[in-house]
Amino acid sequence: MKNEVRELIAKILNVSTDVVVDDLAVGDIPEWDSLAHMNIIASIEKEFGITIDIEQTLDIEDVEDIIEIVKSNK
Amino acid sequence: MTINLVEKILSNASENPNSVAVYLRDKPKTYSQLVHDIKILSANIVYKDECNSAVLITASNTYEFIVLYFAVHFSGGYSVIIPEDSDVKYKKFVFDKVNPSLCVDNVEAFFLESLSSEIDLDETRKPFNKIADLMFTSGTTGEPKGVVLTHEKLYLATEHIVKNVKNKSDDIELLLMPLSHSFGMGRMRSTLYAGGTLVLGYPFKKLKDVFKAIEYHNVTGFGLVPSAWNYIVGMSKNLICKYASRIRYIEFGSAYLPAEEKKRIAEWFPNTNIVMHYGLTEVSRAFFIDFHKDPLDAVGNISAAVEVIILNEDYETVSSGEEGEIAIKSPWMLSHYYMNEALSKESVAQGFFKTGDLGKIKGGYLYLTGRLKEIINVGGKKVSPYQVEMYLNSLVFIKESGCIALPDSNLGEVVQAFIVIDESCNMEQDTIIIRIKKEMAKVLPSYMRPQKYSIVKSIPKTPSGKMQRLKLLNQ
Repeated sequence: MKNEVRELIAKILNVSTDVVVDDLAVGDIPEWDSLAHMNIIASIEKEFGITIDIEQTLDIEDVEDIIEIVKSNK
Repeated sequence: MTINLVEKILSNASENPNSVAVYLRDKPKTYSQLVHDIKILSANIVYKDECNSAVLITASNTYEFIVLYFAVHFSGGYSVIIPEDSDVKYKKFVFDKVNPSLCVDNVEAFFLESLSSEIDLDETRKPFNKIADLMFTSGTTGEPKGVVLTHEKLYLATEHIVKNVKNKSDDIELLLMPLSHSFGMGRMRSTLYAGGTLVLGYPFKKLKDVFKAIEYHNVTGFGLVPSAWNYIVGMSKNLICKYASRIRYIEFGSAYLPAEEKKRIAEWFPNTNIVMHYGLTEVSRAFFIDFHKDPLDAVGNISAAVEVIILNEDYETVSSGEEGEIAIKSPWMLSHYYMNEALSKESVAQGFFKTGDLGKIKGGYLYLTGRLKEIINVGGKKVSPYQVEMYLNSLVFIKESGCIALPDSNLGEVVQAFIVIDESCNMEQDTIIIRIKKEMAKVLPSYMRPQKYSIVKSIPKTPSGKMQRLKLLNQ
């Protein structure tokens, strides 16, 4: 699952999966801008069939946060 | 007395020395400290060339950047601001054009070095340069245009914004827009002009921090481009309404915001002064509409401070209600384009600056109906299609290309590229597009990269060889 999340993020950001390390956060690279951030959250919900509430959405800052949220919502 | 913003900040500092001018997250800097630091940095600015006092500064949303910006003015120079994410060619173009006397890429380092020097603060003052800022903006020919703004014009433009936004000395503004953009700079200047407090260090991408900052600093207002608003709503729904009672003003600007969205914002913030500006770097924020009072499909309530006319193709004024090119005359419009007399002349008709936007005047309001110039507005950032095409055309497998604006629900517009593949190229179309995307990611900031590629057989052109961009839409 961890790798699936990474691959999905890499695909949306149009970067290599090597770049998508645990502490990579929104704003760290030009590709991860606000629009990409919204796309990542929407795609995570769709691909993993989960619903992320507002509080959780606001907590998401880096790759690790996304992985944790997918784990906790599964 | 010279009318300029540094004098205004000095005057604010002498009236209220202990008021906080800037918070960098939780670290306060008073007006007295701000003025002190401006003077220190000013003394450390050494101009190599007495005749050219241009200082090239790479922008950042920091206290140090604000200090340096005003220190340049205080030391008799003028600022040329470069966005942090500029592409290499853009930086080189500006550098070669301006030939700056000083170049500061790392403002924090420059600030620290300056603070360690021992100086007599009373000796730092030098006569003000006539020019305050030289701002480069996307040109339709692919070459950025240098907009020359004097101290007086910057002051008058700021005064106009303050009047419309209703900034006061007890305002606490959360600066969410980048200081590399004229909107962010306008918000910074307006807050400090009014003697208010500017809160820095909370990028809007990290929304949880933004909401915490609103509470922690008792924020009373902010400025936003529509794409940033869309992000806030997309991420947090109506959570921002929680703060409606404490937010006194919101200034929107720089890109299209649908009337229905304006209506929703007005409903969410019933007691907030919500305005949206219309303008360009050349004329600053010329017009405003008030979300609670004005027609929401208009872009400006025509005031006495700014004159506007609509021109036909022969640059004659048309009657009210007729569509044509919007031309504006304001006391703060640009002096001229830097080292470009021809462009300075052709940009003006009857003493009015031709905006390149199409519009009409009806019932005391200005309405935007289209665009003559080919600039693409990506979430408030202006992109010249020529610049993107130049990079695309430099790739061996592209014979030629053409870029236009593609409507986008989040950013207003994004770049769409039409490309003609070189006959010698044997790659599959999908592979070519992947390769192009990779190459563009190396040379262009993300907002300038095409979001959609279409492979076409040819680029439509006039008999004289000029690209017909409108026809690209039908490809």
